[in-house]
Order: sequence, then C-alpha cells, then structure tokens
Amino acid sequence: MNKQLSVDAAKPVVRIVAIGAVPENVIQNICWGLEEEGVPGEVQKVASGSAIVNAKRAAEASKLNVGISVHCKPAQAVLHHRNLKEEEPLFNLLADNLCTSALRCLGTNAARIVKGVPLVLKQHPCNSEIETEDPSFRQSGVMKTGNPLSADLDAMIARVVAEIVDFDSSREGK
Amino acid sequence: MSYIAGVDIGNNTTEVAIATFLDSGDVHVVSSSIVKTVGIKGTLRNVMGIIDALDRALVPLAMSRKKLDAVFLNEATPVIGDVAMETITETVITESAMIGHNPSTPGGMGLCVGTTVTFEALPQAAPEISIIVIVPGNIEFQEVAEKLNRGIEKGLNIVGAILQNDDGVLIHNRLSRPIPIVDEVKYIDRIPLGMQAAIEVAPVGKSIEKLSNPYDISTLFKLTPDETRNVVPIARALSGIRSAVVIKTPRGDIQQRRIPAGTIKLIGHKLKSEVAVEDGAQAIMEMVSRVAPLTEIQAERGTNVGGMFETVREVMADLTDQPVGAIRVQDILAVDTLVPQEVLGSLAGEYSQGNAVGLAAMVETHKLPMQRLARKLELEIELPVEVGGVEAEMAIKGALTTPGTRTPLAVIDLGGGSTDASIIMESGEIRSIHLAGAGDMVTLLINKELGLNDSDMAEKIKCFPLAKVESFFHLRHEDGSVQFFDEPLDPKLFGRIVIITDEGPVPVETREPMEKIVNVRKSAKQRVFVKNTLRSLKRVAPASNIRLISFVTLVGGSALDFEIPGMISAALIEYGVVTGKANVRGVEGPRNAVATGLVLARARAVSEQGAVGP
Repeated sequence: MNKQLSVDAAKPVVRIVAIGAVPENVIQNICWGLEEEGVPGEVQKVASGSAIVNAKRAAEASKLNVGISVHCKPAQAVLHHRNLKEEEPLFNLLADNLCTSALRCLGTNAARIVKGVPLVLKQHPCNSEIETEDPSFRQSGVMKTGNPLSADLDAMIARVVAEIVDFDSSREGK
Repeated sequence: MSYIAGVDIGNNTTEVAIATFLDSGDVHVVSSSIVKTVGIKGTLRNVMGIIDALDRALVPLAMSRKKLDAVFLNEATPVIGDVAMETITETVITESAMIGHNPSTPGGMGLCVGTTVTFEALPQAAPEISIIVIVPGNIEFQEVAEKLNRGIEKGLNIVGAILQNDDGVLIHNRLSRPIPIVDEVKYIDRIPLGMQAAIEVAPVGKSIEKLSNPYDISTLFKLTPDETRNVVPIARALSGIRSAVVIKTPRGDIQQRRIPAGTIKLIGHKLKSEVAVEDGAQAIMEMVSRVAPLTEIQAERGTNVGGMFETVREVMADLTDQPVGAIRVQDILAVDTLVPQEVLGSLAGEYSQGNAVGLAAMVETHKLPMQRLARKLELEIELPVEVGGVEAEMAIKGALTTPGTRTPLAVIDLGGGSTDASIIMESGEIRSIHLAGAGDMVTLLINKELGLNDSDMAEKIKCFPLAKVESFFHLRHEDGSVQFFDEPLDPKLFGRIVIITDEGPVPVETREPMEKIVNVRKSAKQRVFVKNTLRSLKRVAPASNIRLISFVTLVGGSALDFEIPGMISAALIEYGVVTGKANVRGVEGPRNAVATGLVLARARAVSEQGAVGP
C-alpha cells in the first residue's frame, strides 16, 4: 500500500518540479529521501525551463520554503530555498553526480533543512545504474567529462586521504 | 640614556620588554612583544624566536638592534609537564544480547516479541511462530516491503523487523500491517538467529517503557527471578532512548569490566605507598597528600601513564644533559572522567560511557643550559647577553606593576604544561611551586570526554564559546543571543553546533547537545585550574592559610581565557582574597610579567654598577 502524495495547495510540503521527460525513478529517489525523514513532498510537472529558476519558484510556492527541480538533457537537479538568492541555490547537481544515492541524499537534505538539523554532505560513489532510457542519467561521468572513471577515482582518492589523516592523528596519542 | 631588553622564554611564548634608563636611575619600559617559542624551552632553537621577538619590540621604537646596550635572559626554570589518560572500565555485550544505538528514524511504533528469522529464510518459516525479520543491507526496501506483505498474506505472523539500512520509515509506509522496525544496525550478521527477541519503538519525542524495565523484560521472556537480575544492566543501558531490541541468548549480558591499569608508586620523605590507577582520581590524590612531601612518583611500565612518565623524563634528560635516572616526576594531578567508548560485542556500533582517569605529570630540575643559549644569542646579535633573574622573583616584580596590588601578593601562572605559583610576603620572602596539570590537561579532558579524537578541535572548544546555526542566516550563541548574517552561511554549518573562533564559525562533529559540550568545557577548566590554584596557594601560603594572602594575580596564556579567571575568582571569594588577571604596567594585561620584572630588576642593578655589559 503506497502512501499517496496528496496534491493540496494549502498543505505544507517540499515542492518538487520535474522539467520535461524526467525518468520516474529519478523523482522517486528524491521522494524516498524525504519520506524516510518524515517530511512531505509534492511533485509537479512542467514542460521546460531553467532548473535553477524552477527550483526557486518551487521554494517560494512551498510553505516549507524548500523547492527541488530536476531537469534532463542535460541532467541537473537543484535544491533551493525561499531565502537564498535565485542565482545561488543550496545545491546544484550536474550529470556527474546524479546517481540514486545522490538523489536520495538530495531528498534527505531537503527534509533536514525543513527540520533544522545538520545536512548529509558525504561523497557519493555514483556508480549505480538508474533504470531509465535516458542516457543523461546513466553511469556517472560519461556526460560531463567523458571519463567514466573520474568520479570513482575522486571518491577513492578522498577515502585514501581521509584514512591517512585519520591514521596520523590517531598515532599522535594524546 | 641606555636601552636594555629583557627576554622571558616560556614553554609556549617568548616575551620581550625593552626599557630605557637614565643615570638618575629612572627606568621606563617603552616597548614589548610576544612570539611563539621556537623549539623546546632551553634549547638553542629558542634563539630564532628571541631575535624575532626583539625585532618586533624594536619596530615601534624605529630603532635598530645595534642601539640596544644589553640583553638579559631570564633564568628559565626547566619544568616539563605532560598528560595521559587511562581507561579503567570497558562495556561488553556478551552473546549479542541487545541493540541500543537509537537510530534517528525507526519505523512504526509499539512492542513485539518473536523469533529472529532472516529475510531469505522467510519462505520456509512456520506460520505458528511470531517472526522478527532480519534484513541485510543488500536488498532494496521495495522488495523487502513486497515480500513481507506477501508473507503476511500467506499467513506468516510477522511482528517486527530489524534492518541494516536506514529504511525503517520507507518500509513501514508500504506494509499492510503496522509493526515496530529498528534500522541502521551496522553488524546485522551478528544477530543470533532462531532466538526469542523483543523490539520496542516509542512515538516521536518519547522513550521506550518496557525494554528499559527489568520486570517487563521478565514478562516478555518469562524469566526466572535470577534471570531477571541478570537483565538489569541491559534494562539500564536501554533507558532514555526511542527504540531498542533485546535478544534472549543463554548467557547474553552487558557488563562493565574493570581494566587493569597499573599502579602508581608514591615515594615521600617519610612514607612510601602504592595506589592502583583503577581506584580512581580521588584515591590517587588522597594518597598523594598523605605521602607528601614527595621525592618521586613512579608509574608502571606498559601503561599509557607509564609511557607518558618515560617521555617526560627523557625530554628533560635530553634538555639538561642529565641521565634519565636523575630525572624524577615530582607532582601529578589525577582527574576522574567519563569517556565514550565503542561497546565491545555491539551490534550497531553503540557507544557507552567508560570510566577513565586523566593524569598530568611534571618534572623539574635545576640545571638548564641557559649559558649555552646566551652565548649563541650573543654571537648572532653581537650584543652583550647575560643570564640572570630567578623566574619566580621576576614574575612577582612584573605582577606588582599591576595597578592596585601590593604585598603579600601571589602570582599564579596558568600555563600549558604546568601551573606555577609564587608568592612574596611582606617581609620580601619569596616562595614558589610548580604543579602538574594545566592547559594541556584541559584540552585532553575535552578531547576525551566528547570522544572527538581531535586535539585541535578540543583546543578550539576550550578557547572559544559555542553557537548553534539555526538557519542559513542566523545562529544562536550559547548565551542565548542571536546573530544575523547578510550572506547565507556555508551549508556545512547548517543545523550544527559551531565554535565561534577568530577565523569564523567552525562546525563540531558531535551528536551531543550544545549544553553538554559547554558543561564538559567548564568542568574541565574547573577540575584542572581551579583545583590547582587552590592546591598551589595552600602550599605557598603562610601556614597554608590562603586568607593570609591579600592579592592574587593571574598571568599566562590561560589567564586570557574567557572563563577561567572568573572561575578562579569565584573559588577564592570565600578566602577574602582579591583575585584578577594581572595588568602588567597597566597596559599588558596578564602578559609580559617576567620580561618586565627582569628588565626592571636588571636596569636597577646596572645603574648601580654604573656600566652596562658583561
């Protein structure tokens, strides 16, 4: 039994805008992030437009002051807030970074902004395939840089550096 | 008119005071400076810092170094302090008997008892038993919900679930029947299977009621009175949290075990004694005062404290060209503390408070190669350099330039490695003492009690107040005042507790509320500096009576701390003593006491001799 996301203009929700033909799976991952945190979201579809402008309008229309927009071709997801300048959204994810865990994390962070608790700012491996026909949402890195390994390599380097730093500071004793 | 410079080399800072004096005997301090000490106090590396400090002090005078007539180095007392922590208890969950990590978003609500069955084994499960499903992290939440619903349709009595992933709410929202779900269990594979288990999830904002009560656990699992006694530690460990799991394993338990932490030998002039570190700080400090006056303190090899004692003696031996055997630890400060430790045998990476003892030790000797330093400096700057001036005396002379002071006066130097007190009586007699336990110990306590594992962060928490970031544009300081910003704050800071440093807000990685961090900070300063202030004043005061001291001035790095001087004043009020941060020459605050004292004393001596130089 799926909880229906009610479409009610007066309800306090995070507003999510899908621009153009966005794969269902992409929107769902964002919604699941919100759902696990217990904050309601509502999805609308528009035909076209800029991701940043749409996210800002969505935030202004949201009683919870948070808006998300997702665009495909090129793949982009934006998290915005009523009180931020239009040209300075909180998060602006581009093709490299749009894997399921990053999308779910976007939903999680949108909820956490509403709740006023610390955000999740971890690295995403971005190597999971989203089931979709749209090539722009597939394996990370293929669109932007042409190098499918770049995001994986970055994540691995970040982990190695973090481990070295951890090891050093734990060796220092007191 | 002659110009002389006085140099005080401390453990952390090197300070300079430059004075002019006329033949008439008039002395005026005209400039001062402070830099970080280069290298360990007393080593040749200090010369670099001294030259830097001299040059900085000369800048406002628009004078070259050549114009100085002499430089005087303070006879720095070699004192080295260090700290270590010894954990004396550890918490162990045996046979994976419970889960109490309190995830932020569990699913459902309520209480259930069932037998643990893995997700894979569900199709083979019997319909008569109550089932608690164990779900590993490699299965998507939609599949889990689907299979559980199908199982329920087929007649399986699924009453609860334990998940590895953070999917509690997502799965619960898709189930045909409400059940309590505990998620984010890291070591899901350690959960014993085929055992009776109970899950309880309380509503938002509330704590569990049954699994934190031994008699309710007894009811659920039909325990005997003896078995009920055994679950008391489990019930206690689960109190105050929103969700928990208890698993009935034959010998499952949660225990706090004592860890052998070695002994400390105290050798006094007349008495000798031993005390076990695991007996705690109070027992140790009581023994210290019973055996005092102390000749030497020894710690057991192979322990953290033993290792620290060795290090501190080796550094001093190296510094003063003496054999390690000749160096003795003569004072310690022990402090009881609680440190968060990962519970052994935990299923979800739980932490619990373990008892620990923090120990500061101090070594001091008489010989420091200051002459070597003086010669090296002389070569470098081509000016006459002399060593002289007992540190305690110089500190007092400098502190007495604070407006409003007179003898009897005590000066307490709140340093990094040791707390030093000196006192001058009306007669002019001067007494001094060095004690273990100072700024470094405060930092260690903050670091360990908050489980930070980051001494830089602990240092920042020590030195600066806290705030909570409540929105993109404002934060609330620990005193309740609110500060707004024109530009949005970094998302890294959103919702976090931050330290308001000079360079801007720094986030603290912690699950603790701000009040807890504030309490840890204040308590650490209290247990080290207030305790040592009283300890040292009792030792130097006439007839050990602090009331007979009229004025106490605080100097040193930690005298600049935003709360320590206030805490010390509050503690000394009942002794009728005037306490405050020194204000050397009415301009320096609690800094430059020794350098000022040195230059005033030497200027007088020099003008009496009628000449300057070696």
